[in-house]
Amino acid sequence: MTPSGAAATDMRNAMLRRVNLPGLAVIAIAIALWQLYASTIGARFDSIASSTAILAAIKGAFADGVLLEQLAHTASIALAGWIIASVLGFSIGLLIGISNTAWTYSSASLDVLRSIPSISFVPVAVLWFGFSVTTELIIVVYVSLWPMLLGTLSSVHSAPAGLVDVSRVFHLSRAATLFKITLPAALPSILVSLRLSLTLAIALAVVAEMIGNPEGLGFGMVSAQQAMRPDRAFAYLVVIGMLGWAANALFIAIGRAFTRGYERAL
Amino acid sequence: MTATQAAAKVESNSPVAQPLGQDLAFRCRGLAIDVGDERRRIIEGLNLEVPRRQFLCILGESGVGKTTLLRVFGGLAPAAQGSTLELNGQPIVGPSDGAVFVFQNYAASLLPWRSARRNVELGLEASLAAPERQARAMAALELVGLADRADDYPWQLSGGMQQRVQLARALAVKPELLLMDEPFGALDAMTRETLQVELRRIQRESGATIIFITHDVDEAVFLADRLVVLKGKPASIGLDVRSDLPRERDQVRTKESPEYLRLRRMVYDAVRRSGD
Repeated sequence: MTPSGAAATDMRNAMLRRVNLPGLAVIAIAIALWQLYASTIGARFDSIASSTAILAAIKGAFADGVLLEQLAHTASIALAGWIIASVLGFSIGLLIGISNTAWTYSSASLDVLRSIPSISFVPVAVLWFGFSVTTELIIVVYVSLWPMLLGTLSSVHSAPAGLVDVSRVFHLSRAATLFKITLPAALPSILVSLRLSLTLAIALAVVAEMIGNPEGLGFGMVSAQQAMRPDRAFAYLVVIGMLGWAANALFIAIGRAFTRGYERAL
Repeated sequence: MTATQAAAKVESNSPVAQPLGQDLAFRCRGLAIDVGDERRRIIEGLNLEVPRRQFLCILGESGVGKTTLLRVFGGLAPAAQGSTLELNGQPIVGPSDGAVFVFQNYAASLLPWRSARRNVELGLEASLAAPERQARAMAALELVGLADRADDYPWQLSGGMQQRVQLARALAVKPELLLMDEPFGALDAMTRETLQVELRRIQRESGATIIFITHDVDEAVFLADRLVVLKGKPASIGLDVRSDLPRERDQVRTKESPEYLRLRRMVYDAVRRSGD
């Protein structure tokens, strides 16, 4: 074998190793079992759609353009809400984390607010902003704000003691301590928060569309349910799942690119 | 025994009193330290004068307050009212410009997201432009024998190498006083012995004054120009003795010499008595 041929084989092997074959096999078996169940025992129930029927419904919904439009709506609201929430959550968390005054005044309010299940704000938001895209965006931002705010706050507030000593010994200014010590040390926990709030943003966009804004995948799913179309309801479930999976995979890829070189250290 | 040897023996057995006018790097008078919310006193009435270029080892049983004492010396923790602390004749009120720490826990003290060289540059960034800073960092890494690993990250280095990086970072700012808190405590015996020899050489070459905390008697006797044992509750100085070992030290020959054994016994006795 030529050296370049060997290299190509190595690369193909490396790619194959990254694909989790046993994991994929489990999913394939589950889909096959579902097909078997739906076409035998499940055939008696109107509320069950077979794997093939769900696949056909996905194809059909994509073909008439409705699903694509709804997917675009949900994805863009979730993404916009996530970005706004991340910037806001980071800024507020950072401010409270570095300023003792801000901490003193806000910690009680934070404790109260974070203990209210944020999903219970959905009806209140509908009351204030009506059935609108504003309602949806506000719900997404409010809910996905929390992981980022609390994650940033706790990691900035409790910078590792050893590194705090180092910054004192070498006379780092407050700004230098923040940018050279505190924030880099907080980066892993900030990345985790970003990922958490991304998942929440998609979930809450769908919930808001079910209750507060008649658009997007959530609304499509409720419509399918009300029209007694299990195949379409399941089709939406699959598409929402794929959206969440794709967002997560994209996030991990981008996160890797940003932390290249020192991810092992973090 | 010749007359000079006898004189040397007498002198080294007596407590070390520095003659007036000697060039002092560090000095404390009537030092007292309180810790905790209940302000428990752990150090009281401690007087110490450290001449420039001296390698001083402070020993004591664990829990006697060695680390706290060193943090007070470096201005990281406060002394009780009425204590006098001076570095180069200037009172120490906070972390002082001329005193730099080497902490025991190297893993928690190096920035994991910076290469060895960038870690060493940390203390120079406020005062020096990039080219000069890099040159100074490389010189410091050279001194600790790590110039070829300058671009490696801490996780790519062994424990001993990481501790060398921390030492280089401290040396790079050209400190008056190097405060070392059991820096070799977490390393294996082989690495520790190599670094002890290295540290003697580095001290000679850099001319730094070192206050070195340890609970390892052999390490202290091997390294020190002068040994101080903390004693009592609250603690103060129980033994203060000068070492007459030659400047160049060797792990085998030095440890076989009568002076080494004499000091070792003396310090062991003092440390053991300090528990009573």
